Amino acid sequence: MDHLFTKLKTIEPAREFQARSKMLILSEAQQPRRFAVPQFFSSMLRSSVTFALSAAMLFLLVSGLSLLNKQVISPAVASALDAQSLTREMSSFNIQIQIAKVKYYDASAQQLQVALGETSQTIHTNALDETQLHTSSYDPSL
Amino acid sequence: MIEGEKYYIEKAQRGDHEAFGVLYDHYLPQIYRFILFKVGSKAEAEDLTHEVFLSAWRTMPNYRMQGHPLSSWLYQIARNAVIDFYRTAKHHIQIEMVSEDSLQPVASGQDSLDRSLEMEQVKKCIAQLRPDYQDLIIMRFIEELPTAEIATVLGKSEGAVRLMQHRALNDLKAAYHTQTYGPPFHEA
Repeated sequence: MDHLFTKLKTIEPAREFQARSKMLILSEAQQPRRFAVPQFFSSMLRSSVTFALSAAMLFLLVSGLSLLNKQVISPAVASALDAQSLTREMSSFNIQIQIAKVKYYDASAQQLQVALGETSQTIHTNALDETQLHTSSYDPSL
Repeated sequence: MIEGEKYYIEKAQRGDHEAFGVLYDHYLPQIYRFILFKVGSKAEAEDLTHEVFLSAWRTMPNYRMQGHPLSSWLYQIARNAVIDFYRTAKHHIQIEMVSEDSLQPVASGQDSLDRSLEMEQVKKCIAQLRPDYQDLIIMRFIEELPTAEIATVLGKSEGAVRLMQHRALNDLKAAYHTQTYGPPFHEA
């Protein structure tokens, strides 16, 4: 089939057409050239714009993520990551522990005092009762 | 591609008639053949070819060289011209209707009868293909354009063009076989 393709390649336009068409074409005016930025400047402009857009996108991405993390996703997590608030929380936690301890000791001391008082009173009463019993059972008048 | 094509293009962009003439003389035959195989009529092919080169001349100042030969751009204009031709014209002349006279090469000599018959057979086979396969066969096998340039003209990747080329050639072989030996025999 190759030789047939080669033969088809020998088809050519008529010489009269070729000459007439060329003459008519060249008698026409060309379109005015559109203003075009020179190649070097256009490529430089393109790379600059690309860089600026990339930087802006990166900035927006980082700031957006940070904002999102602080306000939307988890405020608790965001505040937990803040060092100052952590210190504050830690110190207040210690104070709370100490206050709780004092309260506990105070309460337990009072309870102990009450318990001791009750215990001593009970012992005293029992001793009196036993004395009275002995006294009544060995009454010489009986 | 003409040697020093960039030089001629730059001069033609500045309105140099002679430079455009060089480009015109070089590319006219292949664009004419491409259009002739697509529209099937010598007169229509001449009109469309004239339109293609007129459009190229007018818009030449705004043509941007992108590393491809000028022919890629001319083929694109030609393809669009053929599409417009079939869109606007009511007549759909098939390539089978191309007269023998229009297919006669200018430098015709001996064996003209055999050549005419064979060419008639091939053009009939090409006409049976899909329009994009026709474009591909004409550009690749008749004009012998490189795959990269065809890819630019068709707006496809080189890989896609290679795949299309394979299918187009298979279809063409099948059509040629049918044309020569008749339809394949199927046993009942």
